[in-house]
Amino acid sequence: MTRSHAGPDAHAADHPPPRFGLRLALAAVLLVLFVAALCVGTVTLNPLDLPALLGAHEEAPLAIVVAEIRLPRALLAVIVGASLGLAGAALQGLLRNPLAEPGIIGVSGMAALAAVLTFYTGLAAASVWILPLGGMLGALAAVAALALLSGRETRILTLILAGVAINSLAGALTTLVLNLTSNPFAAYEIFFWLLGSLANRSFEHVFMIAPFTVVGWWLLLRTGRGLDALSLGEDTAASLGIDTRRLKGRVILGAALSVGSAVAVSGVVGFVGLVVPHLLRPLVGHRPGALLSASMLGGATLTLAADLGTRVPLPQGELKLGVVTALIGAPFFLRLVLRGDAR
Amino acid sequence: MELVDDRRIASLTALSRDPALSPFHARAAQLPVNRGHVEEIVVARPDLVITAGRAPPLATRLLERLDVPLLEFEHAETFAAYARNLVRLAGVLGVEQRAHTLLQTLWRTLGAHEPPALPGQAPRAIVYQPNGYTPGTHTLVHRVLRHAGLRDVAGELGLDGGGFVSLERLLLARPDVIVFAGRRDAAASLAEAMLHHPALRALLDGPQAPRTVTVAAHLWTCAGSYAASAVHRLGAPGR
Repeated sequence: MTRSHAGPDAHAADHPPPRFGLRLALAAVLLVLFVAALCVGTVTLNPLDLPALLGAHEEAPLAIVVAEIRLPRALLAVIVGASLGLAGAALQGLLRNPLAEPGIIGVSGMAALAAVLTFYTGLAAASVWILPLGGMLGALAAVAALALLSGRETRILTLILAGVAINSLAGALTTLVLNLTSNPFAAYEIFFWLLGSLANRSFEHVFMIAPFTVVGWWLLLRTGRGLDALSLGEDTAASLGIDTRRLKGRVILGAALSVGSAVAVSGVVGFVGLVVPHLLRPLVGHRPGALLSASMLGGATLTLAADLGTRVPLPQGELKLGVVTALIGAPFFLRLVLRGDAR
Repeated sequence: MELVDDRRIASLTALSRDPALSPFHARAAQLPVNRGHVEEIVVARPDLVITAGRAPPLATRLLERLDVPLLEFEHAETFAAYARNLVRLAGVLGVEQRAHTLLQTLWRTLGAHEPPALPGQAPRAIVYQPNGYTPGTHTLVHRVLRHAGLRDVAGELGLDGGGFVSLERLLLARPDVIVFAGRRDAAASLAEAMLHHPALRALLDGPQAPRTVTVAAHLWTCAGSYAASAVHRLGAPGR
């Protein structure tokens, strides 16, 4: 199905891979899920009624529900998922390891810690930009620490374990900060920050992170050629005219901007950056560069689908988004480890 | 605390100092408090220990050995249950007259021991706390609403003990009255920020906006004669 869009060469063995077809198919699924995200909820709507509801400027409760609750939530799922998928693919390309995922290596965890520090100390009340800035600084600290480690001839295992340590520490400190906060509700919000959720988010959050996210995406999407070259080894990449230090800087900054701002409004949503590149890698001919935009679309698709999964009605509120992505992602992670892909 | 003066109080639950929960928080700040640990109770050397719900077995055994009487009370979810508790406690403390006066005032304010049957066209109200928590129909809050002449939307939503109501469900339930309880500091927690969501603001600013009332949560978290002022606050006296 996907190959029919891929041009005349698509049938010639696997080269070149059906890249545009894949992306078109992902975009189509994403579009269907997006419409579903606007229709599914307490009251399920007919998709054909959406234009009238969104177009009308009356303040009927149902119109408010679609325009002010479901629409920003769906947009955030797309943005957050795209950031996680893209950053996952880029980090995996840079560190040349399929386990490098923002959640596993502590980038999301540090972003959550910094976001929690800015929010519960009241700093974030001073300006809308402080919360995403906090998240980005936290993410930057984690990515930079890992990149420094990877700069020398560090074994990949060491790198991943260092990430795991950073992640645990960030999680513990986040819990500590929330427990020490005098606000009676803060302790219950540990779940939001450690498991992620898009409940009760609004357009304020979309606008809050949009500028940083776009810059982050732009930085990451331009690393394709460099990451392709890097997959042949650092020396080869250098001989192909790739400035590896610049490439590394770009991935670090891009991942920090996109993941840091995403986590600041959604908490830690794990496994998206792991599962999506892993699934799509064979479909793009194992080329890190081609994987970037495909993972971005795939991440958005998976996160939007998972967010639809959280809307199963439960007596005590809804499922956390990170719970759904972990239910999908953890078995993948295990399979990856057991198959020995994560050398 | 309604029955006796401060000299007869050896120690209070620490919750009594929480302004969000306790109408007596100012008085409690001047008195010793405990967190329910057995050690604290022993050190306070009381002549009587009062618990809400069952005391833990360890504490029960220890108090028996120390020969300190223990009085266990059910959490009162109706004014009638509160009245039973109050009369029982007053009997033990020897302040029956005080309890009698308190209850007379309460029944006069409420108009009846049990809330009246409400007409079908009575306004529909929902209590909306941080995180979207709504107390259910088995709680004192439900009684207070009905005494105030309001139909409780919690019943329509199938909430008995209470539960979380998403913004979507709140908007689509189309209540006539939204009752906020206490704090709504958007910058302090995500739970409170939810009460400032643009969707809720749009509803409250819109042409079909429900009436809003704020009732301090400490007026109806626990039953007391003070809960009658929550009924007043809701705008329609009971009778």
